[in-house]
Amino acid sequence: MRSILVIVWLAVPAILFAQNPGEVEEDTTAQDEAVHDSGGFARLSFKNRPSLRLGEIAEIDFKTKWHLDFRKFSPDIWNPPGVVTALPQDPQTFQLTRGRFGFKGHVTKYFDYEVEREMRKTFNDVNEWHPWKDNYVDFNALSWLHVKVGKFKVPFGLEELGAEDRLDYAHKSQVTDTLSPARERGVMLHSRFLRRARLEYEVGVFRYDGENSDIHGQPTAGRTYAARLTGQPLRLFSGLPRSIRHLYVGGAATRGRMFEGRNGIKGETVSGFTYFEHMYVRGYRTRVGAELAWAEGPFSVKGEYIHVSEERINQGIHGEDLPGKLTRGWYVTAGWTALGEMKARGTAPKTPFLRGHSIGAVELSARYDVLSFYSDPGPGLPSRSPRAPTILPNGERTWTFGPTWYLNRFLKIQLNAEREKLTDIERKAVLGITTFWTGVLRVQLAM
Amino acid sequence: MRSRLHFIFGFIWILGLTLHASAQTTDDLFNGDVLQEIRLYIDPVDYATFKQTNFVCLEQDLKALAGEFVSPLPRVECWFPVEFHWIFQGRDITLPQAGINSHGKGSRSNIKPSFKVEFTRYASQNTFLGLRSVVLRANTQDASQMHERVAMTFFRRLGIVAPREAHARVFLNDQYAGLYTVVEDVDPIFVQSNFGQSDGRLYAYEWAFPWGFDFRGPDPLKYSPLPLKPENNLVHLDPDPIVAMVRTINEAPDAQFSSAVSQYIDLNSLFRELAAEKFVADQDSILGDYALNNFYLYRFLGTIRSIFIPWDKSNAFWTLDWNIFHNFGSNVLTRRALAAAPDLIAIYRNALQQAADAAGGPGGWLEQEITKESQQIRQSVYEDGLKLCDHGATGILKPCSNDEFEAEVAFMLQFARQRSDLVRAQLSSF
Repeated sequence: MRSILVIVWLAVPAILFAQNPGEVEEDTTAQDEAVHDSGGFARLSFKNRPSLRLGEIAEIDFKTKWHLDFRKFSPDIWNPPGVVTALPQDPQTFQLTRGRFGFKGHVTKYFDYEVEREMRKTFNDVNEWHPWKDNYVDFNALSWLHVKVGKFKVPFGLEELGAEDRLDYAHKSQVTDTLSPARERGVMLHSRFLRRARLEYEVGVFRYDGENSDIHGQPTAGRTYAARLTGQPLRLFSGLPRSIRHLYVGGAATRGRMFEGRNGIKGETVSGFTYFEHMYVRGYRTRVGAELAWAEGPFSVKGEYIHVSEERINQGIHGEDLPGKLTRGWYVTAGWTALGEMKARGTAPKTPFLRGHSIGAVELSARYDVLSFYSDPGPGLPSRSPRAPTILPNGERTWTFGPTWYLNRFLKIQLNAEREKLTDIERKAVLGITTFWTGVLRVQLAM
Repeated sequence: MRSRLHFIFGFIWILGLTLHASAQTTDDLFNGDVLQEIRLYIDPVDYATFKQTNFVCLEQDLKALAGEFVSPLPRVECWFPVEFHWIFQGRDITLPQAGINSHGKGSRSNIKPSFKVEFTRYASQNTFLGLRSVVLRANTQDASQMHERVAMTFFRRLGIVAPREAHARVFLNDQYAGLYTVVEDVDPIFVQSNFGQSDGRLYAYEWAFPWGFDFRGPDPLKYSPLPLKPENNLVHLDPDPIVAMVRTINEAPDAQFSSAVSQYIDLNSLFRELAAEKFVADQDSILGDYALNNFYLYRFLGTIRSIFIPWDKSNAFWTLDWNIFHNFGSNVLTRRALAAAPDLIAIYRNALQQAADAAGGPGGWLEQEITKESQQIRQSVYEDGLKLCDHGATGILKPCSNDEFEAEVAFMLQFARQRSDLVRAQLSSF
């Protein structure tokens, strides 16, 4: 019943914004203009979201994100009798997977800030280990030096750093979810430079290794350093064709000392089955990543490669050093706006649904990602033991595809199918089956 | 030419290794004439964690069997990687990556834990002498540390399919951890070697409540996975024949009781096993003081017929004058057999007679076996500073002295000398 109330409550603004008949004849660009302005020092406006502006001193934008997912797994989630949590308890078909409120803005021209909190625990009986999301202050000290302090995403990973509400899919790739660090508290220097090439650097130090590598909310590595450099360097070569010059490339790395114990990065299917257990680790966790993106007209292609090494000092049964644990992954994704037209930033249709004869925009996307767990060569036969010198490799290959229907700038509906195939047949979730399908229908409201 | 020579030498070397390795068999591991030596290497941190989670894991397993959702939080480690060494005739036969967890319920202890060693935990092909697993039983309830082995050896002597076992000195990270019994696990490999098939349904009886085959209704979940825990074929569970078996035990007409129940149970085998258990005065067994306990049930492939396999004889040799019909009335099957199936009681009486003959009296087989085993293990028991026992099954394990060991050995010898006559006397009086 509570789920239904949430759906109805969320549907109201979505419908209002999507189907306001009074706006049908308006110019589409008017959507970005203020719909209400109270005037004076304190001005309340509605641009992309409710916003309060205090003269030139400060601005507060209110934001919210809601994801309503309908999910189905095949084969059905199943536990062998008497086995503790081989698979998670049968999930509900409907799940509220995002319910966030927050605000962001600036104070004078020197400070940007953001505050965001996940509220879905209020509506759902879920474990939310880190309800506070982006909470930071960014000090624009110099044109080439900004200092960001607080909690935000560790600068690593193209897909991870993108806003969740702008994803082409309901879920991030398994590579990103497994290997990118995600948010952490820290300090980061960053800025753009060499503007012609749109280069940007980010260098930071963080308290832990990021929330993605946590185990039930507990960090697995201590102080972590991260650096990232991105841009479109081919823009410097004016002789190149225009479609190539705006190729986006980037590289990033992180390094942090892990806490000793069974804290290695694990592999898990979308349905929650662990197919690669945490291994015993001690020493440094090092990530290296490369990213690439290209878009031309209605087409776009993105890809990423991530390599993670985890040391296993003194982790053998006899206390001997073990060869490093390695995890490697890559994905490539392509999208095509098959119906309608998207705005330049790719976050909303140029013409919203039901304005004139518009249906908004429909993008078709497909993604292939590969994730592999293994180790440097060591003595003895490969094994699945958490202290094996040579780790028996395992991994998964995931196809994700489906359409995204952008109704307007606030509302989109995604229908995704994900096919996961595990490589190690003895670590399969259900005996006799190595291929898992997940179907997701997501309704997203974001402003 | 040189590379060919290398190849030939390499081939001969590998062949030699193969022949060398194949020289050992499970018969060698379970050879009771030898006091075995087993060495386990485990990371000290893992062993500390093992002791922390020892009882939590048991609780979780029982909850999961009862159908309760066991949260993965907080994370509880129940399996730990070990290196397994068996010292055979001075040779070290090693399995580098095996898994262990704690074994037992009432016998569970952090001072001297029993272990289940699963060789195939991390790779299904990683068998040891063809075995998937063994149990290292700490015998924490038994001052003699021989009840289990003597009883199982006796059962096999009577032709009952029962696990093989031998005593072993166990070392943990090169520290003497005490005298243990290495026990053949009842698993699909055991079933295959004893019945020539393993694709039937194997169930372990997990004691959760007193039950004596009373009909608990038509819901299969009342019978399996608790108390009858499936051990194989987990994808396609087939508990319906269990329901039918229990219903038949309860509802078959008196006149057809034997024939009706024998569709589901190898009754000849069962009553021979009951006789053996009664002869060794096992207080915690199919007809023990806690209702059904300590057995496996194997349902043959493509049939509805099952056979019982004995397990855990720690509480054998309970008293000298253990009544041969003790607890017959509290179990539906034996109560009805006693009332309406003289053919089954005849099998039972004959089996008791055979057991008495096989055990012999003074100087008989049983006394010789107890004498042999006690001599074999005495020094190791004396050196075992962690040995525990629980006289009278109080549920509280306490440190056990060498005097208690000797007293229990003396009692077992007395049992061996007198039990046959006492059983014969009871047979003639009933």
